[in-house]
Amino acid sequence: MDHHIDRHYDEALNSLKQQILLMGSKVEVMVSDCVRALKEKDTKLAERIMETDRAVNALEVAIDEQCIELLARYQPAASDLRFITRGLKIVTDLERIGDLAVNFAQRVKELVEQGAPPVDVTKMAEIVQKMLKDSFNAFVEGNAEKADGVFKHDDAVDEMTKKFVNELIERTASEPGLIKTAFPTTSIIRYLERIADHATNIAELAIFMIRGRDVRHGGPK
Amino acid sequence: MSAITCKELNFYYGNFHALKGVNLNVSEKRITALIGPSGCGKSTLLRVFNRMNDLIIGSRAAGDVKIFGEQILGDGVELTGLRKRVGMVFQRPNPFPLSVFENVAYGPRIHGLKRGGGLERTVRECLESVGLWNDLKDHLKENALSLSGEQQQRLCIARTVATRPDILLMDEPCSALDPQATARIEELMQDLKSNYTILIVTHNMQQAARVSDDCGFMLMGELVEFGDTNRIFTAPADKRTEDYITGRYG
Repeated sequence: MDHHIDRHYDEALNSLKQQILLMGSKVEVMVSDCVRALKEKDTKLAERIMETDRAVNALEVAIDEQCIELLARYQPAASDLRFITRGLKIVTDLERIGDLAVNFAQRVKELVEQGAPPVDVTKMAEIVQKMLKDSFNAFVEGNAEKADGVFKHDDAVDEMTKKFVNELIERTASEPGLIKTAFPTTSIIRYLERIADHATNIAELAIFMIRGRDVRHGGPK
Repeated sequence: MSAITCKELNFYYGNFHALKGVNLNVSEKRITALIGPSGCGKSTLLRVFNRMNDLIIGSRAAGDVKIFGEQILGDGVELTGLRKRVGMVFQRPNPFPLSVFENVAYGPRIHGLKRGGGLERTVRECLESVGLWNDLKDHLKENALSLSGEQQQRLCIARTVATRPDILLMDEPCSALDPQATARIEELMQDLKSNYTILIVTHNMQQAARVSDDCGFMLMGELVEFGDTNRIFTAPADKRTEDYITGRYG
């Protein structure tokens, strides 16, 4: 990438990018740790996820401040303006994913006490993790093709959510004893669906940043 | 309607090729900004539109430039009429060393308007249109050079609009003013837009972003990109525009 004439501006933008990268990678690890904790019934890992969330929240505040400072001091334009304003929005999505990961981890702890989940969400979790990784990479690498791929998976995740939730409702109707594991499992499925929605938001933000076109709410991609 | 239409305009200072094949449409009653680094040709382009460059020995324009459909290049053009129709405001306020009243009355008087024949009304209307009337109505006989920089620039705008032009050319009109005076001149430009087509050259990119409806980026005599200001400042199509407005170098 070409450099700015103002070296300090260049450094401030790079620093912002690094902070967003750091926040995004922490959130990605939180989600993958949730899936691992569920698979390995690891309550200690679930607790560590909750601790990571504090760092993610602090990063959200720090990145917000950096963005505002850049806007106030440098009056950015064009791709810089798109990067900074989308950065302000992306941290909100990342922070929400962090919160969902914390909820996920709490449900994992409940499941470790109550028994194994009645349905296998591994495949769904893999898709959601890929969506998150691709949307975030699209943003930091400026890779629109990766963002395009994310949209295709969102419908599949919605379908899986519907299928799993219906299955759990039917099974708990015939096996009431299943309620203790079905309830946290349903929550986990919902969290994964919402993480996929946030990943889709991030992909939309990435498209705007790269192509300068707003594709939210059905706008042309 | 296009106020200015420019096709394949080339301009030379002697052997120096200052404008290279410029094509441009300036829309009526909008503010159009020209931005670009020093020496890119934006002031030269501005001065083509009222033939101010004719004053420079060895300069030469070739191409097709029309003001509201009328060709303005070539020998047969009546320059006093053109400059009445296409007024100009300069970088530094340059009032005549005359009274406030005489500065505004100067142009209309040349064009035949007399005291008692509507001259006073014209002066008043022009001073009102630039927001000076209330401050200066009791000081019309004072020398214009005693005014503040901002008042002088407003007076120069009043002097320009006094000849009832269609187009106002502004060459860095705020570069000698402080930020507050600049903001007030920018507000005045927005008010004037309903009656005039304004073409402004500015080094201040934030000013171009704030005041203009359309914006053109020039580089080494070429008009690299032209379009809606919102688009130019958020998602320019040409990398050279992007690099300039984000302050990058290749």
